[in-house]
Amino acid sequence: MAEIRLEGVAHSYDGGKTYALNPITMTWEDGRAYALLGPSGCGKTTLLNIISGLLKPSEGKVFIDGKDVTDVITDNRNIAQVFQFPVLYDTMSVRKNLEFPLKNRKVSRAKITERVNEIAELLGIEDDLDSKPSKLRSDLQQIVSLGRGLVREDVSAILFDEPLTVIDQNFKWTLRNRLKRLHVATGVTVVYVTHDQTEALTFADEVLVMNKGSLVQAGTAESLFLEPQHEFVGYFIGSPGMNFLDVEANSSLLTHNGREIGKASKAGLNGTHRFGVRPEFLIPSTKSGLEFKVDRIEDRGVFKLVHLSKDDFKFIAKTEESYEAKVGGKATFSFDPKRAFVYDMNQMAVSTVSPSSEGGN
Amino acid sequence: MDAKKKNNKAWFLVLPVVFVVAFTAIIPLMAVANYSLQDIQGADNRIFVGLDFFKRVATDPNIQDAFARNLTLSMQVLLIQIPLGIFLARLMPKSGWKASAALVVVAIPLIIPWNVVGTTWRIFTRSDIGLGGVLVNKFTEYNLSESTFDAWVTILVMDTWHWTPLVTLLVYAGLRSIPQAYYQAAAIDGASALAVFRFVELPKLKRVLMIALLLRFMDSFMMYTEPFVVTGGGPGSSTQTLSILLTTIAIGQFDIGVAGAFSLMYFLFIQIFSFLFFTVLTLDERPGATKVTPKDKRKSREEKEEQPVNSKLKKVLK
Amino acid sequence: MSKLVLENISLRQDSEDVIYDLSATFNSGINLLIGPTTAGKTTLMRIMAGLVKPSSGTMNLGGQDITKVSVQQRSVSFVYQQFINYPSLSVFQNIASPLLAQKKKQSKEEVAARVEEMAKLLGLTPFLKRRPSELSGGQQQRVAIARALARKADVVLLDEPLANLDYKLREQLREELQSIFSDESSIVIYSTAEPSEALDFSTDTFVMNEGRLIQSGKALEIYQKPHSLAAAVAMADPPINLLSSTIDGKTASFGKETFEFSRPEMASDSSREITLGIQPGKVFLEPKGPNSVSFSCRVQLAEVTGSSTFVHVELESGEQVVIEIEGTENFALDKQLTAYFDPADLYGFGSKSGKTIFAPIGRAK
Repeated sequence: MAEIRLEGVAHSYDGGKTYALNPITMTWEDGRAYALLGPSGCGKTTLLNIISGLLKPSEGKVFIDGKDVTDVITDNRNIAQVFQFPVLYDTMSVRKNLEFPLKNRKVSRAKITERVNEIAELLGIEDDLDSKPSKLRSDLQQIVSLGRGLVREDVSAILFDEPLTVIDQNFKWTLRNRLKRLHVATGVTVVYVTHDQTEALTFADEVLVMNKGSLVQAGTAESLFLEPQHEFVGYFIGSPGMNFLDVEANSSLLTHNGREIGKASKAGLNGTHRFGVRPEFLIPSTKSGLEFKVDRIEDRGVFKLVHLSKDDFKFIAKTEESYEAKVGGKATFSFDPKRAFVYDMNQMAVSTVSPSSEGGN
Repeated sequence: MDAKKKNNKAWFLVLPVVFVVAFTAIIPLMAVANYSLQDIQGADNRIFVGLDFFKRVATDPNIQDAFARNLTLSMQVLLIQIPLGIFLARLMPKSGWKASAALVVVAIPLIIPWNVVGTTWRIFTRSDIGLGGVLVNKFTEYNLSESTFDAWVTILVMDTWHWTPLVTLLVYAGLRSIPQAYYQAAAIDGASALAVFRFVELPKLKRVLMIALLLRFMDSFMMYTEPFVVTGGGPGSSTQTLSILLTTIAIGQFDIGVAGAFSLMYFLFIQIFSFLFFTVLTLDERPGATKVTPKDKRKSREEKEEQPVNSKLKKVLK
Repeated sequence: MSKLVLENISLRQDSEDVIYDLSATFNSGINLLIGPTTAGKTTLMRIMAGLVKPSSGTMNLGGQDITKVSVQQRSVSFVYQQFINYPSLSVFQNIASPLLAQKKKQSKEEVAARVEEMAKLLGLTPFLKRRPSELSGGQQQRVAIARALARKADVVLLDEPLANLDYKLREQLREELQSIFSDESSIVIYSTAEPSEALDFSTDTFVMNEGRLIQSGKALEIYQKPHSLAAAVAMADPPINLLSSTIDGKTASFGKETFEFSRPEMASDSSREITLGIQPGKVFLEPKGPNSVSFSCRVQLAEVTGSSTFVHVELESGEQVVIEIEGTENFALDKQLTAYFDPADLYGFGSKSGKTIFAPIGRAK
């Protein structure tokens, strides 16, 4: 178990011309589950490989439990990693696969057997110990890969690099919460890289959203969802993502093409900004709010997506299953003042927004 | 109709190849078969002798000696060249201009015409004026034309120099296709270099090694040009490979009937051996035998789905 | 509008039945093929493309029997999961390739015009001169789609085309694809393993399982009224909760709970073992209405997504249930909870046959 600290860690694959990872400084607490979430190419895998030691950062230092490990090879960092596809030694049985890391570290035979049995029971694979791993289902193969990491008692952290990539759809769900339960049971620090928000949000205690090599926002699933500090977080998290609209602020009054949208809670706001509100927080209203034309309603079973348009922009609202409206007709929506934001030219949130109090705008 | 026209056009493209193959392979093969079954003394003088020639070939002590000799040679070739090829492939750079340069250097022996290889080595190994021959003589007695041991070793060294690059290139290609993740996982598992070789590389190189083994066996069992040019099969018959003996019988002695039978048996032996060899090595990959069939897959899938995952995890949380 | 009609198609491979007696009619527009990975979706698409000959059965396109027609003769396009493009050709040449391979040669101008049309449709105009390897995954897949659409084939097959892309990109491309295909008159067959994609497209859906077509209809219909357990599972994300239960004409019991329950479909008095199903979104932590049935359970895990929380609980009987609640709530492990559901929201499936016996009331649409 260990605390991992990064100081100014950055990486360029081409000697400084472009940075795959911009300088980042942060501390990863012992025993917590972290997720690195972001689109392809955002630098999450680079960051993961720097933590595991498979990649030496071109800048910065990595500390594990206070010790500088920037130059320490993976072998000695006490890190385990699970890759996108199960990485197994085909010629060995599951048992021998699990014994391998301990044998290499010259652990005693008796201890090896004890530990392997313990881990196999933890993972629920004690019946498969003598099979060849290639005969197992892909999610169990990943569990064996994970087992090789857990079997070492000195493991300080387990890193997952998009581990559900090759798992059958049916088993993604079960493997995911199995991994979560294992984390809860073992208390090891976990860093989980993914581009799937559901995976990240359900698994991690803290999610780090990354884009274009930089950390955009870190927080709990709740805070990222309810209070996105950066436009990218509003866009990337949530399915569908946040609705955005260019607005002009004049003494904190927000308008779009002259039409009043709402009032920012921060005083003295002027200039071009962006208004953002999640589909979940557009609330059907009978009195005040913005009047839209209903373009399309998608019934998704447990909820509905209402596609709205007004003047030159479109919004999507996520409503309860019971919501009814006429396609082609008009509908009025207001928004939750705690859940609507104004973003400045740097895409950072500067204020929340209250809806206008006048009716049917 | 359009469809018919297309088909016909394709056949026209194939015809030249058919003619070439017919003249250089099929018709001669038929001729050889013809010679092996009949004693032909002249255009009108042919007697059908059935399997006589074949029996003579099978019982001829010279041929039996050459067979054993060639088999030993092939085994030694495999024992030396396969591990050496793997060793060299692992040394080669993985990417960048150095990799391209290494590939070119390694490939040079392969592109030299075989009789040039033979001639080069013949001069190289001469005890009087050959660079290699003179150098070796400084340490020990070395004479190609007198010592059977020296001749044999020389053939092996020459063949190794000539053909190991083929194994190297095949293994190199095989190594490049192993995903980085396996090396990374091995590093994380604390595996030594030897363990990485044994548990990551060798298993993934299985197919490539099979091809290399098969090719080297076939080629070494048919070896002709190089030993012929360097030692002529001598001294005596110590480096007389099967193909050299065959040529002696066919062209030197003009014993066409025996040569014909010999050829056919030679050809069949290589075919059958290669087939058996390949079959044995791929036993675990054939559908049916040991592999899980779709029915089994379905059954085991159902069984797998019943795996009481949750009850085990109950223990975890207690 | 032509239709693609499959009649009694079956395929035997290695003396195993891979596709069983499948009959379906595909109209123009998007048709969704959904099912688990081993259901046989890819195999069926290969049969429809003509890459594999069925062991028996016929295929009819626009009234013409195409069962024996070779793939080169068919008017079919295929988009794969793995962004397959010609690596040595530029994007322009890639899109143009099917047009140039046709029997009836088009003029250079016609080809260029069509390529530019497709590029514009898929947002590829700035990339026409680049090689596929220089583009991102999403862009490469767009090239593959443009290439598939270029020749206005009668049938366009897409085999889990978005599976290798970022989930956000998937969302975006799905929307684009819907608008792209709404204009084309081809028969589009799109396969996926993700139920949310099916509901997103909300179009004619065909559910496959283990080589058979088990249900077809509009996505939402199948979701609300699955004919079998397999269909319910194929369309549910998160997975539907299943409880083994005993039912007689008047009551139902599961675990340690028994409640009054009657449905016209279960009229007989004799008691029966069935499997009850209920969606995670229909289990609550407060009573919902006068008929609510409650059960006690223990928290095993809580997964927060931001907009909702999935609480994994275990009943005394050892069975597991997932409850989806709106918003974020944290639960301590092993906390005892009482959960509620309305029996009107229950599904009933035969325990051996998996056939749907009854579906939630009030779903008639």
